[in-house]
Amino acid sequence: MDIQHLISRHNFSLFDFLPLGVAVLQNDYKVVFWNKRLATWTGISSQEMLGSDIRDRFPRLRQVRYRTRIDSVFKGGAPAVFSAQIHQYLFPATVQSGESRLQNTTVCAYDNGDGTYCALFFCEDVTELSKRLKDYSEMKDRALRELEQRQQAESSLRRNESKLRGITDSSMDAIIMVDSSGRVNFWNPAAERMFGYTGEEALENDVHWLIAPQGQGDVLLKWITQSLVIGEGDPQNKVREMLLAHRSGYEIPVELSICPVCLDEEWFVVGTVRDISERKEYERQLRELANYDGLTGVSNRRHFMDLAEREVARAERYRESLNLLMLDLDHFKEVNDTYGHQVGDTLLRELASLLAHSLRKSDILGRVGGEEFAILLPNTSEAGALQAGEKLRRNVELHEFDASRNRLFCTVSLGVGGGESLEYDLNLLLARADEAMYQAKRVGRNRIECWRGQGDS
Amino acid sequence: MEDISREQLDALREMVNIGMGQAAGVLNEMVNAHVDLQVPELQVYDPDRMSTDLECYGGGAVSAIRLTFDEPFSGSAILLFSQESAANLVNLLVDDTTDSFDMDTLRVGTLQEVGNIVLNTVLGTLGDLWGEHIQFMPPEYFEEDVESIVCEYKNQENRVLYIKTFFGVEQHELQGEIIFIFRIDTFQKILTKLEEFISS
Repeated sequence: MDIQHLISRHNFSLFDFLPLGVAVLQNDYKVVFWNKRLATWTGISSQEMLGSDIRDRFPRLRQVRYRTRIDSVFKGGAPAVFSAQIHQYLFPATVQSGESRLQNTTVCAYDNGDGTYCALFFCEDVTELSKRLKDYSEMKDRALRELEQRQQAESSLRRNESKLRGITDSSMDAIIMVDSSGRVNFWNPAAERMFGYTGEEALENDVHWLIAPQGQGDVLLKWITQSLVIGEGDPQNKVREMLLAHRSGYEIPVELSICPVCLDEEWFVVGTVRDISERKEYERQLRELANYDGLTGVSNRRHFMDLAEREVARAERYRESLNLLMLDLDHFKEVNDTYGHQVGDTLLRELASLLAHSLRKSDILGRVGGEEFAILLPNTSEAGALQAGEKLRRNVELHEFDASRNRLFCTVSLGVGGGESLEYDLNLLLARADEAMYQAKRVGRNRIECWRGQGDS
Repeated sequence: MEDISREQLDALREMVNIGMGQAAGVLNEMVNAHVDLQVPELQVYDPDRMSTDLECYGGGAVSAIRLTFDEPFSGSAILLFSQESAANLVNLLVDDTTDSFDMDTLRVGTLQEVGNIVLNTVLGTLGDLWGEHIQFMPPEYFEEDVESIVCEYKNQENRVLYIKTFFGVEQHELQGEIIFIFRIDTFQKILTKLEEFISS
């Protein structure tokens, strides 16, 4: 059947209304119809195409991969699909920008009615669609990548946070952070334990109100504020010992170190608080051991000398009088020999206690020898010292010493070191009081003697 | 109910093989590599049995190309690929055109074409052998889970021709399944044709 016949027999013009490029070929590959859209796309008009062998214009169709399948359509076979993904197009065409048009082409057999077939080529333009799908796909990939990155960053952040929290949670010292108004914004578990406020209770509250002892708020405040002054910005830690208060009111000796910290252009102060109660207690015990006589509990010689020196210096400055007594337990050796050292010790203890209770608050008592005691009497004349000494002698004489149920009676010998004139030499006073005391012993014990110029050593 | 005889089945297998051979030839051209299409298994049974044979796909979605045909033979031919095979096939067939397309579009287009080639050729060959012209609809591509595909045909008025195919492309081995679903009356006609073929 010739082309003209074909064309007149079938009205292919309806194909101009389809949103597809349409071509009709007879089985010798000659073009029977070439729709307007295809003409526009390819730039080849219908007149030019009609009657010509399409393979002359588009030699690609001679390739086996196309020829075989198109031939089978000409024989009435099933529709052949040439996808844009594999072939891009059958009939090359471009869009405005010059890019190739991507086409899905379906080739169907059309029965001429006489046992021969034509091939209908339907070209669907998928350029725009493909581009959008591709853009979307890329966007999706990008979003997924970003999401993954963000998740990784978050995970890393969480790990970091956990690490830091692990450190602050496990710290034995209280770690507190306050903002420039003194409001708490970090309060670790150790702080909870130390001050008796939970994190929730402490957060956003003024730290001074929480931990400063009664009336001490200002001191703390001033110190913290100073740290916050930018430009004083030396982030070296500053450490101080002070007393802070637990919620219940009781005071805790602490070592507080503070450090200003700048976060995001805002200044904060981080304080680390160490409870030093135990250390203080050890210090106290050490001091005690260092200064006080283990047996009797009164000042030991060294401590007595320290205290006495100070008092002497003070008296000298204000030209006040002062005096010194030396006191020795009589027949102490015999007591030890007769009753044993344990009784002797108890005796000394009781004596020390008795002396301490018999003295004024300002008097300074110390055990300066085995059974020897020294007493510094501020603001006391010779006469006053004599009077005080006599009182002591009498108290001891009358006292029934329990001394492990032995019921002992003891006496002491005393010497007064200061004479009529004011003396501000401690050693001198001690030497004189000592001499006077020996004099008392020589004369008969259980008495008090004043220094009478028996020769200075 | 096995109403197809041993000889008829053998004859059918032979015809399918011929069709496969031709399809392999066309695919050869496309991939520029040797394509081998084998038919290790061919069975005829009721639609209900389809699920069992397709169990190997698990519950997941498969890529499917369907070709529907009409008088004188009515029915559908479906070529199924697992997601994995589909991906492998795409990789083999597509080189550097990937720039214009995202992966999903690429897969659809490629499988559609492969399915088109294989099914067209096989059915075309069968039609030729039986001296009949079959009318075809353009092919469709879809992704569904096996159960959904199968239950459309679970109907006693259909018979299923199940063909397991192996695509060998160089070192790669891919597996697909072709299921022909024929209406009962069509199936009877086919049996008749097969008899004729055997006798001749």
